[in-house]
Amino acid sequence: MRHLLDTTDLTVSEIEGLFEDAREFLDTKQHRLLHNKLILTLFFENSTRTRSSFEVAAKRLGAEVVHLDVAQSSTKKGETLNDTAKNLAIMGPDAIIVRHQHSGTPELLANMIDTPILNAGDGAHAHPTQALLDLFTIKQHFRRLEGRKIAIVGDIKNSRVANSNIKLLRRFGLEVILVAPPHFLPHTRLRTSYSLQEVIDEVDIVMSLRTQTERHDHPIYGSLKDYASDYCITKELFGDRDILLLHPGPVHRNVDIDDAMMDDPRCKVLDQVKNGVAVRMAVLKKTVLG
Amino acid sequence: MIIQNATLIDQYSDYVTDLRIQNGVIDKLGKSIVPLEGEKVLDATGLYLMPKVMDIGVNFSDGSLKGVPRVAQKAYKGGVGTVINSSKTTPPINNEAALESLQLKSSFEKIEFCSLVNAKGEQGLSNLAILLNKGGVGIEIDSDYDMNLIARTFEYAKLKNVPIVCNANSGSLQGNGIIHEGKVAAKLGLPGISTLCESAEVVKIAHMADFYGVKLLFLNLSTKEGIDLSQGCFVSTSIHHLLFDDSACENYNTTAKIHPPLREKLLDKLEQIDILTSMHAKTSVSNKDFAFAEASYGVDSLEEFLRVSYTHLVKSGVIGMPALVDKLCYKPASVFNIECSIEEGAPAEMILFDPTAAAVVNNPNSLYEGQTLYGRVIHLPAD
Repeated sequence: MRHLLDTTDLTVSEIEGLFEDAREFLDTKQHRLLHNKLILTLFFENSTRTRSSFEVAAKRLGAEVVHLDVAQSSTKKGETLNDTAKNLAIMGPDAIIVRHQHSGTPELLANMIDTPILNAGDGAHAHPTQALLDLFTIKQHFRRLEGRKIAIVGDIKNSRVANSNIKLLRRFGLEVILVAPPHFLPHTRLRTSYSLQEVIDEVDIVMSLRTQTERHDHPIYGSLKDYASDYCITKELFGDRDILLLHPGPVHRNVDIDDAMMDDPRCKVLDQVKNGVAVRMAVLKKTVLG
Repeated sequence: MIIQNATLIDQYSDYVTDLRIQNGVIDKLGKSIVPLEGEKVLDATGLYLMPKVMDIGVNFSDGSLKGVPRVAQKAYKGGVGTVINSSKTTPPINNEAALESLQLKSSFEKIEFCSLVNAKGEQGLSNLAILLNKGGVGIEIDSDYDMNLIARTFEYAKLKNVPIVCNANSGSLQGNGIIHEGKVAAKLGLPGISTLCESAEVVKIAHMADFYGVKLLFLNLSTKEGIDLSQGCFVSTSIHHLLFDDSACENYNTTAKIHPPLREKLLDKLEQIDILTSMHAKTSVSNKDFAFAEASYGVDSLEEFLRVSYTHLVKSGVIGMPALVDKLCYKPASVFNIECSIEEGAPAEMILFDPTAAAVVNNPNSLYEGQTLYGRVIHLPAD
């Protein structure tokens, strides 16, 4: 693996290897594996959580981190993507972490320069480290993944998190069921349902996504409240079933997940955040040191 | 209670039968049911026994929800048991408060009100999931709403498995038109509404219904072209559009000002029309007593609906009674997945209809003023 553009850049055994490292990094201790290494973050789209998670990961490994807030700089000054890439590469970073609002940009960059590119989310295309940390969190709770069922709930059509998870989780034997209103369902061969109630008795994991109802001034749904009336994950829905609840964050309370479920021990949102740092440490280590 | 010798109209045919009702449910159907001791017996010889009429797209007096009791009264008298009211009320049924207000108001009435909910809210798309979860029976759209909004509406219809009810009309093409664009409009010097306003919109919406696989009902089509182009969808037409053409507007007769407008008589299209409506939208006299251009649209017709339909379609020999009852009861119920049947175990939601009674219409708001109409609705006594 030179770049990490999507989870398909990793073999199953490479992923198992990453997870072995990540398990050790959960100790939250300071390491010096990337001492004297330079990591650039190149965020064309605002992000607080993913960027901080990568930054914490890099710093725990002893690397220097430089942020380039491109949203407000080069593109507005007329620089092309190619120019930006080459200008960054010449500074000699050991890896560049990229987030872009449009699908495919990390791949374009990877084709332009030799520096390893880590995709921190591009459009509705991919968010590989999120999918890896989700899988890592699932593996903490299930010894055997084969045959487990996960319902991914929300705006799946526009979700890079859903896209990367669908690809990754199926490789590990999970059955993915997409649960959403028709508005948010992509064309797919996967099993789909409009109703959470219809699938709740058979799933082991529910992954709720952050859902937006407005896009480019065209309403997709009546409102978040209207969406929540059928798709909010509630304690009434879960009952006392033994189901793991995941969410990539930030959780829109009482729209994606209700207050009661947020406080429920089955909700693993904070575990995901913690695991996210460890998994990204493992990914950085592999990318920079090979 | 036993009803004897009634001519029962079911979905397929009519036949003479006895019928026992117990606790509001049809207990037994068949010839010569023997009354129990003390059981009430009703002789229905020569009377039709049919489901209560279901009317779609009804509006209230001047659109106001205050008109609910009046509509209920007229419906009851006219043998209409279920009113599927339009969402285009004042305020429109596109929010929870309006829907709840209507449901509360109508809960005291003798007839059933089921509301359509409008896809267009104050800020774009309404909260259709909530409105349908709260009892909306279908989504009403105008065909010239924003295309994105219509597409999302189809997705909602799919999600909740409800029909879409569409008013096919292009407002921008209609412009200031107020009457069918034809010779009468020219003669009266009134701006016309082209048939294209409807037919071109029908094509678009019918295609979308096919694309999404959603049940769609065109409400009150007024053009032959529109009916021909509506393939795969349900078609409703008002009884008035079958019987009148635009000449009803002669002499600037504002009683005949309805929307969509009276054009050419659609009687010979009856076979392609699934559902008949009364298109009831009573307009107070004060809103009709204007120059044609300034008068409100609307007609008072709920009370006479069944009698008009019987007189002009069945008594005149155009169709048989089962075909009429299909268009007034069974077909509309099937579009909205509402139970409607006369069989053992079904609720006794029926009326008797005496086809021999005759009366002259005395209602200046009616298109049928002065006509002799046949038929009389008889409600079943409590058993």
